Amino acid sequence: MARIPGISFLGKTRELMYLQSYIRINDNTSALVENCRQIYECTEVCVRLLTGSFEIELWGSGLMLSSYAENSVEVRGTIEQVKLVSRRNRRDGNDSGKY
Amino acid sequence: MTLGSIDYKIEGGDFAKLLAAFTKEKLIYSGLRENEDHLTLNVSFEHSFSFERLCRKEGYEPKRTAYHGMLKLYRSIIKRPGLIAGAVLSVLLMVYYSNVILTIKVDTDDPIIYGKIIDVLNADGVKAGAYIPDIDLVIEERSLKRQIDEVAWAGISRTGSGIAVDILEAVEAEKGITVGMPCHLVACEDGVIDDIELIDGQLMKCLGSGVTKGEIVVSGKIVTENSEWTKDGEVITSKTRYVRSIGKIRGTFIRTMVFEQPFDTEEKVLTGEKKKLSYFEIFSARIPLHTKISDGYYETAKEEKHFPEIGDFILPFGFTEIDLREFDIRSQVLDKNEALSRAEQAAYRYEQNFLTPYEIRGRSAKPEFTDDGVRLTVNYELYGDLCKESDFFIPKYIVPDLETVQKENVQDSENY
Repeated sequence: MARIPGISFLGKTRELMYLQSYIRINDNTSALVENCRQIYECTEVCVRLLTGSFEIELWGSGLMLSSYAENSVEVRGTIEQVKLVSRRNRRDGNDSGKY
Repeated sequence: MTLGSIDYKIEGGDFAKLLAAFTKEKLIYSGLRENEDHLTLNVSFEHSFSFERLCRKEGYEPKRTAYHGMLKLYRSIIKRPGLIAGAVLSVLLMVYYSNVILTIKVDTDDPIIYGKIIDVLNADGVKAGAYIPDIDLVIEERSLKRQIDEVAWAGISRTGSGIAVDILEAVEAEKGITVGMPCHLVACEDGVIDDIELIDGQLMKCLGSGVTKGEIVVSGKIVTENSEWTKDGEVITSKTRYVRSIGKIRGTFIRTMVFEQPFDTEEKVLTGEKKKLSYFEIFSARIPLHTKISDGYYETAKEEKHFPEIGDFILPFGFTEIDLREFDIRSQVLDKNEALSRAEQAAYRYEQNFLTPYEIRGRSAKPEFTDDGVRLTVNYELYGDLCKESDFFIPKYIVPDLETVQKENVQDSENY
């Protein structure tokens, strides 16, 4: 189980500076991810993105990726799963996230 | 993506480095999808050059697979140069014809005034094909008002590729009702009265008497005097009545005319040269289809109009061909007989044009030859109307219907 911090100075700073990962999902057809730092992978079934705190995995079918603005990407297709992996946990070698 | 977008296909194995470069360079794209051995994405035309440069920098060679939007339209048009040429030509024609006169509309129903207006405009260079910005419409308005008496006011306005001429026609002031107004019959020639048909008025000259031009033959002022004797003497009552003189006064008079024909004259000689003018007409616009013809004197030999017809309706466009014959004005020296013949022809034309209301009872012609030409003096003895009506006005201080003047103790010779 990942440790959930109560009040984190760094987390508050990220919140105030809008550096958090904003993810908006419309049904299962599209997802808009802001503050995306890097695209790891973009296949028809899986899109992996890196944001400030998380590595986001979107699973589905017929996925494709668009970038219309700086540090923002939009994933279109049939989204079946969204997986968020904390970068800290990833560095620690633990896989945890939400489905 | 105003200019459209391009589909790209990039072949290679690992695209992580390229995707990282996209994010780093903040490239704008859509439809990115990674397959086993290639990457497909769509980039707008505006960003396509920076995208291709970026791919080559990273060691990939992007291939264009499809075009979308306006770019697709541009590419399809570029393959059809005729369309481009037609569009460019249309634009040029639109620019040109929006600045030249194609139609001239004149707001009048009178064909004579219409013709005069068109003639004046043509003389000033305002005709189909004229460049509108070079035309000063105010000057043209003044020109119309000055040169055409029937136009009281003129306004010219530009209507698209034409001009509209609005006019107010000069309405002649009514001369008033002359019937019933008093008038004299005044002699208009020096002659002898042969025939009198008098309906109203007081005859001042009797049959067979001679009259001079301007003399009152029948007076509209009728004065009647009545004489009565009283214990005080003779009282003469004078009554004046004003009438309109009506009647026919015919007589014989002499009219002398002189016709001169110089020996040195100018003659119109055809040179044999023929020119053909072609025009394309649409509504009232006449667009020339010929090159400029050389200067000279030309007369119209034939004018043909070829306008298509649908049933009985003639369409308002077609071609007009005008055949011209060139002529030259050359000086010519006439001999005496020819000069005399021409003078007699002039006399004949005068008789046909001006003496038809009269009966020519006598004619005597006397030619005189001078160094310069011939002088034909013709004396006509004419029979016809000798008088014409001449209105007069009754002085204000005179009672219009009746004036009574009493003369008392008149002892002049007329009363005896």
